[in-house]
Amino acid sequence: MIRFRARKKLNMASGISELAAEFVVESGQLAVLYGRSGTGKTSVLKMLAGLMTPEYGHIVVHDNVWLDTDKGVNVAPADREIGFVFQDYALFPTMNVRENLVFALGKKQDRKIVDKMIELMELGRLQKCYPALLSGGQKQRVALARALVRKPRLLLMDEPLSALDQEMKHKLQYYIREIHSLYRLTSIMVSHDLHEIAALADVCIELDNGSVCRQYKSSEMSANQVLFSGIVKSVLLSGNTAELRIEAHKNVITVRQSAIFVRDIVIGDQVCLSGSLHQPDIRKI
Amino acid sequence: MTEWNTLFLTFKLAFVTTCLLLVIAIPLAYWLTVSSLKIKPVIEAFISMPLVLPPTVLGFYLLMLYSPSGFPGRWLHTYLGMRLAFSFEGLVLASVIYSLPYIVQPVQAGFAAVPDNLRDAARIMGKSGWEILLHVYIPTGRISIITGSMLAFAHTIGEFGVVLMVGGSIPGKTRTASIAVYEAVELMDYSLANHYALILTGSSFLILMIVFLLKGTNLFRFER
Repeated sequence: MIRFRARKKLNMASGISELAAEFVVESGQLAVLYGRSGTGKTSVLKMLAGLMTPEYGHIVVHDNVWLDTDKGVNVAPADREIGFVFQDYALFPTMNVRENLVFALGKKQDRKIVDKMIELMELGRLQKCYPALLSGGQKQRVALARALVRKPRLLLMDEPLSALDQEMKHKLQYYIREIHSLYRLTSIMVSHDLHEIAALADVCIELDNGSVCRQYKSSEMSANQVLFSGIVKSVLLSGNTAELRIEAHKNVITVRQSAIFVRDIVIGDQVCLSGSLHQPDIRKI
Repeated sequence: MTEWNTLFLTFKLAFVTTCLLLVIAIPLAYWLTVSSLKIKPVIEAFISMPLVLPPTVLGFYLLMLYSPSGFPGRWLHTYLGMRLAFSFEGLVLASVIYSLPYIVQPVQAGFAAVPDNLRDAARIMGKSGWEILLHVYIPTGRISIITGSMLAFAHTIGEFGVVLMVGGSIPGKTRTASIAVYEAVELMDYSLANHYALILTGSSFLILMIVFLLKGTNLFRFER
């Protein structure tokens, strides 16, 4: 179980304001952290990773205290047993795919895990390639593989799929779900994409202005719960399906729905999304 | 023959200085890039002093430091048998101090361009500061390291004030080409002065051209 409680002054979207977040994630769950840009989601991940220290904080992961500012406890990032997938992948540009993975190995760690990860993420043909030559999806697979080389117990992912096209997103969602259950990980991921949240999340944590405003299991969503409200930026019809891009909280969310249900919605409409994450209802406000 | 000796000495000084500078400046630039200590601006100002300080002032202070009548000079002479004033070793130390900002600044700028996430990723992997420097910053910032060392090399070749103050002009020992030009002119040996001047101009131009060529190069990109 992960217990997170932290307070820190941050330069956020609304100016300098205080992040004061608190949440609990059960072991083995995949939690998605969402909320508008600049509301402190990445900072929460960095605090969990030990890359950022809050002014006040208490982080306990699987019964180990990682941070206790009252007692002066602050476990180094390397000793936290975490894997971190950065939004921009953070692959070392002067190392090829295999070297990136080998560099992540611990001092006495068996190298076999590198081959296993290369096989699992289907990177065999790419292992001699340098990151500059890889596509977004390939880089993301390398970043995931590299984050898992040290056999972490907690996997942190900062918008890992945001830069990818739909097809690649689905493929990688599958990889994430696979590795999450295969390695019995507890994962926390930042995401804006409703479909992604629906496809992956066991639990959703919504941050607003530096604090957790809602936390719920994705299966426990009430039918009429408003998820988001926003403005329609584009409507793309393909066959019977309409793909709407809705700007909410400065983020653009892509939602797919049967064309028949959204026929009266045009660009510029204010809409609200309610119901389940898997198939939200879209209504004009 | 003296001419070649002078040129050999000039390039030897520049080479030894650059090698020492590489060892000192790379960790220093890395520390300056990643450190958030409040004392950092003081250290940055100290390192950059030779950029604005008259070389004679620096030369004067170093001469005082080297003097066997002062504590550091006496200590070095008694315990290490080194006499820094008017010696090649003294010139090397002076050149290292004088050329330090010319390598530290480009390397620091190159390291600052390395995304913080790369360092964070390596920290999560349990890598030490030295490992991160060696495996992440040096390979990623290699162009700035080459540029910085070439600038330091060229700058050492062109030193005049500090070399004259600290080294005097002992042929084969401390007389470098820039001083030889000055002395040749004083003796109205314009042909000799022209000889040295031409070599210094040519080598400086060549080094600077390589530096500017490197700036837009694809030569060292990892895109295999």
